[in-house]
Amino acid sequence: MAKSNNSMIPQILVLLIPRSYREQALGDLEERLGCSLQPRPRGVAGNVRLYLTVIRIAWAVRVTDRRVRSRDRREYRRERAQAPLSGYERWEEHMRAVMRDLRYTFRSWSRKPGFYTVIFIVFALGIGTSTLVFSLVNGVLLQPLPYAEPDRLIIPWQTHPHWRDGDNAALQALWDRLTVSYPVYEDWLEQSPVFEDVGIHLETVFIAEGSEQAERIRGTRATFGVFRALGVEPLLGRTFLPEEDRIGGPRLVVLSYGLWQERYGSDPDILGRTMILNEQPFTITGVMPRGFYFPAAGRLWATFSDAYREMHRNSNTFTPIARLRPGISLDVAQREMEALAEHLKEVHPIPGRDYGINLTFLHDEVVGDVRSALVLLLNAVGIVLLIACANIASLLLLRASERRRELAVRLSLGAGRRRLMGQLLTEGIALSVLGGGLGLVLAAVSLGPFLHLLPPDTPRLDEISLDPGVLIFSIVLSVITGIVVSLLPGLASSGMKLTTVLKDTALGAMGSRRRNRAHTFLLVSEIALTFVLLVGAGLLTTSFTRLMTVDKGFIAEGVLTVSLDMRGARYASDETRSQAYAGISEALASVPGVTALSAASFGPFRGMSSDRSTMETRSGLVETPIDNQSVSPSYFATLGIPLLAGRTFTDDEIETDLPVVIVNEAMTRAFWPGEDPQGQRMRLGGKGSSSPWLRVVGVVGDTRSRLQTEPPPAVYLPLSGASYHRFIVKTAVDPISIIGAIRDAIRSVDPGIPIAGIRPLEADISRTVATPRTLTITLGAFALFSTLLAVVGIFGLLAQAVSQRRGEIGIRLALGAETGRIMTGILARGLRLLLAGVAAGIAIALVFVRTVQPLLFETEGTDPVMFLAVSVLLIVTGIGVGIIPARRAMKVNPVEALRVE
Amino acid sequence: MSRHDTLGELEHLILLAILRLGSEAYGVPILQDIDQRTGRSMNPGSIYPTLDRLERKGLVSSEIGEVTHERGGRAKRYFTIEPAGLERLRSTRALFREMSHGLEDLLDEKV
Repeated sequence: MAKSNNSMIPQILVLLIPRSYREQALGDLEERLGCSLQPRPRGVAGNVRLYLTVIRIAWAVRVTDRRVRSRDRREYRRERAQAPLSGYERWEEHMRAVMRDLRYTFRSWSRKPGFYTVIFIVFALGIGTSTLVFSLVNGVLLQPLPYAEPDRLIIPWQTHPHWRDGDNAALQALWDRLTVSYPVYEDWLEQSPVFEDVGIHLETVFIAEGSEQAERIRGTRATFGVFRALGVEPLLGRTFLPEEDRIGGPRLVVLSYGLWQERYGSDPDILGRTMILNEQPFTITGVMPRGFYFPAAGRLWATFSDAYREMHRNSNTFTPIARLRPGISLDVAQREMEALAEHLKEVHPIPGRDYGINLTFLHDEVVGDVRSALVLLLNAVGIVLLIACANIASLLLLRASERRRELAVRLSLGAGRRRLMGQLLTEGIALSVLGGGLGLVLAAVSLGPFLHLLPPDTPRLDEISLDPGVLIFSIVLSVITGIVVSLLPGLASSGMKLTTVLKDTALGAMGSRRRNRAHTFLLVSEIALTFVLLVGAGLLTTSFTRLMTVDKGFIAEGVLTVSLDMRGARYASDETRSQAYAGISEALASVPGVTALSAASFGPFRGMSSDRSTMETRSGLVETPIDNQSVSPSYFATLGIPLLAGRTFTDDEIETDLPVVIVNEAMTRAFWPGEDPQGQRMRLGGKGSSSPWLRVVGVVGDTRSRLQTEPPPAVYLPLSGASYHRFIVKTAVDPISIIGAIRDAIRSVDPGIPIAGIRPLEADISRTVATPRTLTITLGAFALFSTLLAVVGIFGLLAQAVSQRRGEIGIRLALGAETGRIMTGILARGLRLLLAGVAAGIAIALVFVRTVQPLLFETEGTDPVMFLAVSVLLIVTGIGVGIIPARRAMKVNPVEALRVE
Repeated sequence: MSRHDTLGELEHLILLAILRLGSEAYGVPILQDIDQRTGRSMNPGSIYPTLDRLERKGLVSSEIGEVTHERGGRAKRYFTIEPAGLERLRSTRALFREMSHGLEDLLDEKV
């Protein structure tokens, strides 16, 4: 065993000699020693001597080899200085310089690993957050819609200027975005001079007959023109033909890729098969390609039924879409369509309606309200990145002052300015690659969770990804950031002159005063920008808190809404439906934990219908659209809506459909101010309508239909037993915990009823504020991160000031200065920084709040209290952190400090 | 090859040894020649890269020689001086002679 070990050692040792010399060197060695290197007994001492000789030779070969090669390079360089270089040689030389700079960079990083780790993390967070926000902006705002030539796709809305002037906030919001009726669509189809294609569609839920239970499938009714306008070819089969899309035409359906996969297992022979939707057979004519969506998350597209096609000219039910002819601008199209609308008004007058036209690009419609939120996020993340830059730059500046002797040596050894410039750039780019790479990884990892944080109804959520555009953006951003932060320390100090930068950085000529000035500038910017973000986050938080605590007019805690889909044949008659509802009511009331139960046609936060109504007032009949919904007698009690006057409905009124109505306060204020509303009369329909007059029997408190807007006037009608019921269940326990029991209760009445949804009312409300919530959380996180950076920056600067001035402090202490005064001096410096930062921050924030203002609820962007609070917060935090270095200054031992000097 | 190139000391010694050894110039004799004449004990490891460099610069050439038992079955590598090498030796010698001119009294060893 020992023998074989002995024999192995020389074999390993000879590997130390570079291979190209090994044969010669070993041959010579063996010849010279006159003995074989092959294993043989030599005795311990003999072996050791041999091994040492081999090691000695190997070492000498390597040392000489390196020396010789460096000599070769020196000569090569000298020759090159005389002869012009070929392109390749120049490139090679350049690469060599870059490699040298890189080695140098890595050496200086590895000397201060902790310090540079902090820089990488700050860099990565800056790039990571920017990438995330940009991927959002890119996916939602910048990417073209996934249709053919999307810039020609428009939505031709109708307008109804009268609604703009009415009292109803919901209608005011709708007056310029009014859907169209089937006859109007047909007129456009035949007569529009500017549309290449036009179609209408209606989102709906189909009940599809399945093998076991009926399934609810979200889908869209669409005319043939919708597909033509979008210009997307089906994957299989075809879409609808014009000649099929008419009264008496066949029932056809086109499937989405997902539905085709899940329901039909991607069966290639699917075309021509029948699908039962809403108890009618539909023939499958096509399958759309993967990723196709329109208008939202629907899973199939079906032809309209004749009932829709025969709807009245006054029934504005359908959303239009059109493709403009090539070369027609939106303005021209707008004028042409207005002319057409005028013409149609003459041909088919509709009393009391004066429709106009409003053409908008489909892209703007899809993006809609999210734009201002995204612009805010983009601004905020830009600020975060700037803060990160300032932070890294000031850290590098600290490092530069430590490195200045080393740089001076390099310059005196003949490193040219270009070399030093190259060195700075190489460092910056190396930082970009590492920090940016880390940032991209961070973004890739957190994209999923980030998308979950976004409101689920964010448009084009599925199109958000780290696509090549985002990657290029991030890489460019990283490189620019890297270069900026590497050059910024010098730039900030030298009036932006690059030569001075190089001289300063390299020669250490930048005096400590100048360097401190640069550092101060960076830090003040950082504080100012942090101030801006804090103000933004503070405003959004205030606004969001106000939104969440606004008086909704009802109590949502512990309330569940239960929606059912009773369109099936089994419940076609009023009688069976009434019976089912009554049965379900009974079953729900007996679920343990349920304390109250009512029903409504909509329920809170689930919309209302808004019908033209006529009120009898002191000044005559007033006609305007009013929100209305039907409710059961216990509706107000279940939701804690106060009954202010009169009474709620009686069971008689529900059963016999008596002409009574309950109004809210806003209604009283609008039509019967100062009068007793009880006994007043109104009716649904216009002045000429023949619908019965309804008598007001009660007044209830106002309820909001959106958190953001004041409660509109609204009326409540008795909910008849047969009309659609959404159950409102009040529970004494956590509503989520009894969802299962409620489902079982409904199934016990009829296992076949499709349950459309059982949801806590609070979730419905919360969903309407998803965008403000996301914004508040995101901006809050940004502000927190920035504050952290700024605080670390203040600490770093003051700590450095203390360590730079140790000598001076020592002398002053030795001369009898009070420690208190020295501490105050340091803190005063910190305070000056903070005040300058806050002052600059106020100026920037006054501009920045303009992007926040449209997103605020009952909150003034320039709220002085907010500005003051943020100022105090920043200054107190800054001073608090400054105390640590200030105390360190106080504890300077004069003797030690002076000895070091 | 520029005229600025001077020979390093080791290079100079090795070239002279190769010139003297003629057709017998390979590692062991080169080492022995230098050792004996200069009285220094060279580390053999240092001559191989130097020889390599001289060859790269065209001052010497080499060829692989016979395999011998005493070398443990390893081949010798014979070096021959090239005209450029001879020229370099001459110019270096001329350089030193020129610089030493008139200094013989000071530089010559006195017994």
